[in-house]
Amino acid sequence: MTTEPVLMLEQEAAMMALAGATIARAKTLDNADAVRDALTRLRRGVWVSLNAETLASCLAVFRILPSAHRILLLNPISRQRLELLRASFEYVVGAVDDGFRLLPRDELIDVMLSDYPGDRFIGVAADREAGALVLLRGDLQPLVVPLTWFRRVEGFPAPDPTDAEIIDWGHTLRMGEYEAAADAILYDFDAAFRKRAKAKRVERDNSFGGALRRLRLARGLSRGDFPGISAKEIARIERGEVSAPHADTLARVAKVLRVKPEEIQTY
Amino acid sequence: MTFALPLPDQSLARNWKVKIRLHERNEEPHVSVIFKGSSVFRFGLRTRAFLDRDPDPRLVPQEIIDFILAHLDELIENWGLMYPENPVSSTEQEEDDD
Repeated sequence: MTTEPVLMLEQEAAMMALAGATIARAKTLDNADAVRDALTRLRRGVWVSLNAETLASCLAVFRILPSAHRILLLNPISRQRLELLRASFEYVVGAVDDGFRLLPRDELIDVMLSDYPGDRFIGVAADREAGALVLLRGDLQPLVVPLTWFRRVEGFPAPDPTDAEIIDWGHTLRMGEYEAAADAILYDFDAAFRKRAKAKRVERDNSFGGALRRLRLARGLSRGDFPGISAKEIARIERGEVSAPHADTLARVAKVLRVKPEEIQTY
Repeated sequence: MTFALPLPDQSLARNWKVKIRLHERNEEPHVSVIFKGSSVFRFGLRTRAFLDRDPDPRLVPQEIIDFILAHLDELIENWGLMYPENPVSSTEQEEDDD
């Protein structure tokens, strides 16, 4: 469970509650002193702001050093005020022209106030030139995913990054007609998420062979897709019949799976 | 293109979705039961049981489980189209000694 507080100004929290958002678990701040205290005393925090002009004006009267706090702006803000926020927050998202397409507001607040906000996405921005997506997790941590990572299946639509959004209450990334599970993305890109997900399985196979099999299937590969290694050999490793696969074999398997040899066991 | 099983009960459909997406965690054939809250439940198409102990599968309404079981053939067929390298009928061991 996350230990980072979600902070917002009291008057904004009241407005969000009126709009139907469940903000009971948020820590609300009722004046500029409380804002300053939160920014200086708390090591990290996630902020949500409807009217960041008000919040920025609170910051203007104090000298606050850059912090590890992150903030999501739900409404536009002037350039000048944006710079003020950027001087005080590690990461500011939702500002003018940052390109993020966010979840509907009520769903977004729901994700941010959940027990594991980082396990769902609240926004996405596509950078087609760089060939990557920036996914915004509910704890306001960005995650960069190359477009080449998404599997393509013959006869089915390819991902369309020009039409990307987060749906299903943060559980699905949609790109045109293509949909990818948030947990599939996190499983591959976040070792801590992977560790937790493995622990939740009913039938846990923590062997090296089990991990190799899961990773191979996650990559959409058959046992015959490893040049220089027979399908039979891969099957023997997956069944645990090879007690210590040779380092060269492991290196070649890892290369095809696009991981380091020592990472295979974590899947 | 995602395969989504349309739930017949509108009150259920507001809070739940049953889907096979084009990029799932492809370790075992399954259908994702997505709850409006923070949970995704993976229902195994081979084992016909939930794959994870957390979130607690008992939170999934029995009507949804019954609906999935009633449409199992359709779900298996769609999984096979989307994940031809890992079909439900395969037991993995069968392809060992090719």
